[in-house]
Amino acid sequence: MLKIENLNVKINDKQILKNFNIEIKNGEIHAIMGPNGTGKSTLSKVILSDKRYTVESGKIYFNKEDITNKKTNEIAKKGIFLANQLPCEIDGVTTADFLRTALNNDDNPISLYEFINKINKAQEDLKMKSDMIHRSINKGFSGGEKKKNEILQMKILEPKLIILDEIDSGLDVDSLKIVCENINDYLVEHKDASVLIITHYRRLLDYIKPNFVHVMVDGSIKCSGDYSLALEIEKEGYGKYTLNNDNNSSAVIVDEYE
Amino acid sequence: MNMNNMNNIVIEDSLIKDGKNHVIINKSGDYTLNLNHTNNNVVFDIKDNLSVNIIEINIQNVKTNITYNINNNSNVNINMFDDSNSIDRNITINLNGTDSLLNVNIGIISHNENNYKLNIFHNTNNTISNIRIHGITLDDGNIYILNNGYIPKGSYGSILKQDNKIIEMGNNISKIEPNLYIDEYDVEASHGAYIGKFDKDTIFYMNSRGLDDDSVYNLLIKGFLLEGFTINDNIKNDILKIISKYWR
Repeated sequence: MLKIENLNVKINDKQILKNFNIEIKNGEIHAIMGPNGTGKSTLSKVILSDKRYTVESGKIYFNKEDITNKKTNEIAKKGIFLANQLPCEIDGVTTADFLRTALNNDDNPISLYEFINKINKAQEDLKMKSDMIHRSINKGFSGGEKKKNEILQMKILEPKLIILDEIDSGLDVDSLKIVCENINDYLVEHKDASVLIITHYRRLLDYIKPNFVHVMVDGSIKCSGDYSLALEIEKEGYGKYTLNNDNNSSAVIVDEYE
Repeated sequence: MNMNNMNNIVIEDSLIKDGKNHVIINKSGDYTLNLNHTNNNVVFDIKDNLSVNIIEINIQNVKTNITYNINNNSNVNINMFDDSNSIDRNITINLNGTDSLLNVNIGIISHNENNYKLNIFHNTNNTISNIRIHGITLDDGNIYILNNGYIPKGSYGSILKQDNKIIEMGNNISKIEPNLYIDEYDVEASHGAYIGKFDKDTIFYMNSRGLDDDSVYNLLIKGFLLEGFTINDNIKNDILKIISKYWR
């Protein structure tokens, strides 16, 4: 579904991603873990072609189509959804108007009746207050409400690839459980959908079990494995990856995942 | 000055010349204000215990000098939308009664010179004002906002909030002067001023849901200009038609 080859990305002359590679197949769940400032969130934005970043070399393929440097809205319409770590607050634009416009931007616009049913169901599933979709997007929302609003959008837009950028930050235990249950239910209903989870902590991975875990340090993946790698990181931290990185040593085994 | 049963206040040349520039509002409800004169000088007295919604949509060049006196326990919303070449508004609001509440929402599309001078006086205790002025400049448009809020000594328990924003989509430079003159400790006051473009993170966020740039700006501009307006759907649609002349 998603394949990234030798991606090098800069912002303001600072190299963020360095020969970054990953492949995510249909129905797979991947988690990228890493310390602060290693380029995890940059990766999510670059996949969606945030023009503030410069792709110097490398390619991003989605369902075998080169989407590197395509327009953000065109990539989104192909079925990639980014649930943001810090969702924007947008004055005067309600979630309902926003999503209706997004769906009507599509080749197959949705009827108002169908839209209302769908959004009401999504709200109930996420245990959101009924007036929230009629308020300015994320304005005055708590951290947990903002994350639920992201997942509500996911459920309405029905993407093929879901990128969860630190979706667990700012969530209490109950909200985290609700958010993760909704993502898992979505994956049951959409068997081919894939997920890329970006997180610091294992906690989220207890709820959404990844098939593969990658450790990202200094702009590239240093190690890949299964869920046990997340357990190891929680126990031992990122020290052995960051230490080796200081002198650009090649001692760290890059486990190229296939 | 003419005030019919529909709560439609028409300010006409002849009446202004006669010096009859005093309007007394003693009934709650919606009032549409129609300016048919280019040099208006009007005083509104809003009596006690009322809930009043004033709406003004203006698409002509205008020079106004309007004063609102708000009395005890009255709740007043002023909604103003301007889309014209030349605007010179001088607005004075006196919160004269305890527990009076004022919300001012002004949406502006500027093509040339738009000047707004507001003076909000919290003349007694426990008065609240929320002033929101949102403007967009096009081509050679520019907006000047002077927003003065006053809380003198004795007006304790009062709350004063200002939100002034201008999105520049033209070639000229705008200016905002947000001033708070506070002489009382037990109050809450805040002001904000922003001149610039729409936030890039916001545009990326909206694009990332599949909206193209035209749809993004269409939603952002309509939301920005009408934020906080307390108007019915018919009036909202009238304003949206005006905005749609420029953005789909």
